[in-house]
Amino acid sequence: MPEPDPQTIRISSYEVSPGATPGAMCLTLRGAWTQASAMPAARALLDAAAKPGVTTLMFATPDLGEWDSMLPMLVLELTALGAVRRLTVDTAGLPAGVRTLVALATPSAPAVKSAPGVPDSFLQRLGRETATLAGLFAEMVCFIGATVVALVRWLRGAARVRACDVILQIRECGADALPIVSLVSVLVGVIFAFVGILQLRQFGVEIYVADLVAVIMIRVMGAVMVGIVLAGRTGSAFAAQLGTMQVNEEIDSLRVLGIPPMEFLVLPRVVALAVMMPLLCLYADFLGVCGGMVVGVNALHLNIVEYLQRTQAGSPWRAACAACVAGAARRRSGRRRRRPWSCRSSASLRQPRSSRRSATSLAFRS
Amino acid sequence: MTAGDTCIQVSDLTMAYGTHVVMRDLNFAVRRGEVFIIMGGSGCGKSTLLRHMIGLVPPVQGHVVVNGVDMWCGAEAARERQLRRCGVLFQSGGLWSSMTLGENVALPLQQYTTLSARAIAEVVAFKLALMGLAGCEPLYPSELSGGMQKRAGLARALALDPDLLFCDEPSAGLDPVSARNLDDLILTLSRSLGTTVVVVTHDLASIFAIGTTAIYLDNQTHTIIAEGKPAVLRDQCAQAVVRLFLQGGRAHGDTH
Repeated sequence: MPEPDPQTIRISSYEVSPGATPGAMCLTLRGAWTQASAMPAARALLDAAAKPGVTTLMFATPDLGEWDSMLPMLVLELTALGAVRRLTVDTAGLPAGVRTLVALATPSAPAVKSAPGVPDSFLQRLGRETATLAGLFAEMVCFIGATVVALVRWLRGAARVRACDVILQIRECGADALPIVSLVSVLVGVIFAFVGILQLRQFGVEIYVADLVAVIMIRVMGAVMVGIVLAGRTGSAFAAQLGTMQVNEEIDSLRVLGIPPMEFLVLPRVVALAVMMPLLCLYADFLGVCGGMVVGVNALHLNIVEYLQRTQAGSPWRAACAACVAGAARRRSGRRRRRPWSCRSSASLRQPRSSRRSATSLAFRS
Repeated sequence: MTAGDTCIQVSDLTMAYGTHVVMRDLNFAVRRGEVFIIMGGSGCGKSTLLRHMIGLVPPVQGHVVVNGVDMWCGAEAARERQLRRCGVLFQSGGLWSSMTLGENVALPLQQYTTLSARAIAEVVAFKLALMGLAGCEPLYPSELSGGMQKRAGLARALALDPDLLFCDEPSAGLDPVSARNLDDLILTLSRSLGTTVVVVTHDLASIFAIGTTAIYLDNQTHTIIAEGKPAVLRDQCAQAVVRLFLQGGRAHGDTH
């Protein structure tokens, strides 16, 4: 066979001629019929071939170049479209490879058509979603309950918790979170100081910026920022770790050994967060005040001691402790990250009673 | 412990996920000391049956009685005690990824024995050496090949010297030689320690090499359609599906 011209083998072309038998039409395919070549649409081919009185469509492929799965797809589409127009597609003239693929892809039995889906009404969807939500809520309550039970067992010394796991988790959710917590809290302190100076200047009381930054950071922003950062960072890390363990059958291995995953996996994480959250919160408060101080000292030409004195005079140090605890209450375990609630209620339930009281009291005050 | 008495009795077991019934009316018994094969096509519920037998999934109906303890109706303490006498090799090894191999094998010992740390280290070294993993204690599971993970999983399953070993597709994903070696290991254990082994597999070489009894779970009828010695089933089973399965999908005499 002579080597075809490289230019022509990239182009798909066809030609329609009357077939050998009456009522038959022959489609001669030339050139390349691949994804790269601009192939004609099946409908256009059929329109060209299906003259009145034509009942069979045949193929001839004397100069067919390259072809890929586009050609069998085209033949299948022709068959389907032809059936509507009472036109039989005869694949005998096609290369053996194409015929095999077409035969493989043709379902032996008509596919079972699923009942035409009536779209659910708004009420149906609302009801279903509500029911799902109720199920999720129950699951959440069960999880909290199981955590409390595990915590009680741990306090009584009966839980299977390894100290090294708790320490590892403390490092992961405490020390390893320092960079991001530092960044966020310094930025918040700087921004508050900057904006505060601009606004307070109108009244000539820029000096109060120190109070402003201290109060905002210590009362609210430190705790909120740490809470959000840990929920996002540590929570998603927990979800990823535990999810991978589930997939790798690691959790099943624990169950088989009679080691409750709640105690072995969840408890170290909950305890680590409860320990580290207040500390991180204090750290964020401190850095926020420092950030504010950098701006305050430079913009107001104060000296550092003066600024610190103002900070001390204006800041509610007593509230600081309560705020730290509120921060701990705001953090949320990553175990149920998909659940859209749980933040405060679930977490505060998992706290020891004293911290829960402070958290609630703070919530009432603000 | 006499050979031939019943170790696991499964009666009228029905397994389902939600409303989808996986298998129904399963009745069989595993005798002590044998290598019991659960086989069947992909997705027919072999692993699910294993999970029911270990007590990870509650049956919809029926009972699984292991060494005289009902895995779901009995007291929790009896069930836990029973689980401690079982070792399980999971399909993907199931090694705890945050721990080294040594810690993986040591954890069951730390939890359930009063051995000293030093004695535990010795047991761990011995179990790993049995599996050809001597000196691999400080490695993490992610540093191991698939075959090594399987063997390490087996070492952990054997940490407490169980008298019942469950293996979920031990040879899946292994090259023929590693698969054969793992089969030999299981066989050696079964013979030398008298361990009862329940193996889920669809690997023909394994089935014939180690199986003493096999059951075939059928996808169409959703129940057991054959039970017996693998070689006998291959040649004489009344069910054509089972013969076809055990002949590797070829009709008898067909050499293609």
